[in-house]
Amino acid sequence: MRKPFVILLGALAVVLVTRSAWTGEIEVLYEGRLKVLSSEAINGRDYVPLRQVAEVSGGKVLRDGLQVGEVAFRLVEGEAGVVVGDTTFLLAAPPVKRRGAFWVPIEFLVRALEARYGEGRVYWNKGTKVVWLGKDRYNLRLLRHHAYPDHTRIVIEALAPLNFRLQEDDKARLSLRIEGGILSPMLSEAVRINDGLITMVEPTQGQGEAIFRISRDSFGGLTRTFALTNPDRIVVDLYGPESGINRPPATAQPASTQAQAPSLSPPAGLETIVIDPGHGGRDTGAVGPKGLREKDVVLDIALRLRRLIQKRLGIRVVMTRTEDVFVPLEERTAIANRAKADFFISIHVNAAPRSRARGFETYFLSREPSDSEARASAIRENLSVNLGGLKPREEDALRAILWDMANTLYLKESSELAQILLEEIDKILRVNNRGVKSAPFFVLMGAAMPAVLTEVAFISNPKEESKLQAEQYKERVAEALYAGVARFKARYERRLGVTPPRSGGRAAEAAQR
Amino acid sequence: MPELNRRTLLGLLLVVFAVGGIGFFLGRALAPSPPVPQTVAIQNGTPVEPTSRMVRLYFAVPDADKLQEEERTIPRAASFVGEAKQTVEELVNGPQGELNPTIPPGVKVRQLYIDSRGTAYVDFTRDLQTKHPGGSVGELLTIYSIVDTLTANFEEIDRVKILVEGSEVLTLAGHIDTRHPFKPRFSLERVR
Repeated sequence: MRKPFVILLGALAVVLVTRSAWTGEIEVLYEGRLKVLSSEAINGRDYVPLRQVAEVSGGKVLRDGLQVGEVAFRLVEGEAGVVVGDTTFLLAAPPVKRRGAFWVPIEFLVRALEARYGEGRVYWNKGTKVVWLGKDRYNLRLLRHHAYPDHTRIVIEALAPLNFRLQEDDKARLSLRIEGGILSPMLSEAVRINDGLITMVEPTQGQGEAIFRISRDSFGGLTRTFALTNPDRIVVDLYGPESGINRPPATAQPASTQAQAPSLSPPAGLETIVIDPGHGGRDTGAVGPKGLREKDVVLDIALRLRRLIQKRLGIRVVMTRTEDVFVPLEERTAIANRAKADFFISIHVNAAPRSRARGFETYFLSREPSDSEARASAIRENLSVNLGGLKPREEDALRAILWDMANTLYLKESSELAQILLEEIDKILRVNNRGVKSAPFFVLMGAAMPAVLTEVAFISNPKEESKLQAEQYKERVAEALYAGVARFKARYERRLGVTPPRSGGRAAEAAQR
Repeated sequence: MPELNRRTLLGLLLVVFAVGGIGFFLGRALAPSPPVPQTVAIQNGTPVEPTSRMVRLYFAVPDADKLQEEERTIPRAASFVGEAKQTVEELVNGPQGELNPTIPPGVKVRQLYIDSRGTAYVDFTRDLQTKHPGGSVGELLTIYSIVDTLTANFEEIDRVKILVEGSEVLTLAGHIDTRHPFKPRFSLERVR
């Protein structure tokens, strides 16, 4: 039943596409007229003469561009950036000159028509090479999403402020209904997310509204919606389920933030560490001249370090991976945040092409970019403070202050941890010490805890690669990292005035894992 | 036609001397030095549009712990955006002295454009990711050689965002967050 229809549709598409490709024509439908522009493929893209663009958009060709009503587009041959007033937009390909006249890629035609008829009215089908003015203006331009450690953010960009509401259809499905929303042709397909919280978002055009159906991977969980302006955006934050389903079974802490309101009992000592062996699976990391792979070396060292910490310190160790699998960077910090770890150590080996570089270095997160939304969000959401009884504005202000303090504290502790690890590696390995550095590492960005990254040797250096192949050397590297962890723990607890209860069941239980 | 060629050549020579002279006095005094001054060659008392300019490229030192300059002369383009693109292309071509390259061979610059707030967007081919040898230092050298080279030579550029095949990428090889534009660093200094 459906198959013949699909075949027919396919055949039709083929006819349309080949016809346009043969004749090199682009059809423009506007104000009841059909104008056929002669196009030419230049570097695999469709170009039209600027003169014809001026004709359909009612504009005027200038020596250095095009004037459409109030809008002047400045073009430079061979440069993709087009200057409009005090902004620049980027074309997929630069304008070119033929016999002294500009030819422009087809998207420029769309921009020129938008300047005349307004943003949101110009539609364009790449396959059939037809540009047309829609009867209705679309006002929902595009959809973006991002996975944060504990929530997924879906952002819908609009061309105007619109009213919206989020409703729960059932446990696994939500609908975001946007009053008066009209989808752009870019929003015609379902967007697959599959990030562990959300499987997909399907936009559909309803009567007088646009509906975005959100399917969740897991059931329940907090949601939050709000609007932002300039450009107008609708934001939906979806959190994981509150009770345990999404957490590693090892986590014993209560899940709700309320339950973790500050108490008067003495602070606990350092209890949980996350070890992150870099790369893994399809991501091999750096490869040495003799073929040794970073992902294998760092996993080996990380497993040795886990053993040492469990045996001698008895604290809980959470690994981001224990085998050769690919784990996305966001997921690594998410694991640490869910485990409410006290600190995070990522283990890597270094590489620098064609260089004689050797030795080790440790890194913590640099302040650039300090406004990183990921980190802000991670820390804010992991602040376990009960702010009940405050007005919303006061609560926001207080959270901002607390976030700032927490961020400063974590950075300070991260730099100390980096320094301590460096000193211990220096003592035990006695190789070239390249110092503590800071940089905007992705894997450290979302961590709501002190976090460092260690580069224990250069796999690109043949001598160091050979060393890394030896069991004994890897054990020494693990010993050096262990010494750093132990010293940091002692110092941390001394500063907090804690004598940690090390006799309890937790330590014994952790040691068994 | 030959006359035109001779004139162009003469102009070029003049510029080379002018740039060389100014560069000699200004060049070494400051590190990192300010953007290269615009030079105007004078021919018979009337200013002539210079046909080339000097740029500083940042490559890796042999120990791979910082970046160092190497100079190049590039032809003038219709706008500084075109010159910025050429400069990055020179960087991709690699060093001529004893410094080390920072960008994998075969990478192409697809486009470069600058927004009204001084952020340059440099779009590279996929090879920047797939052929990258990895390592935190390797990645930092790649990123900051691009960022420092652009900001040092073009005062219109304050920050640089790296794109691959027209899109934002999370990292080049799994370490440094490339979702945000970078400010110049002019060294990969140790904190301690």
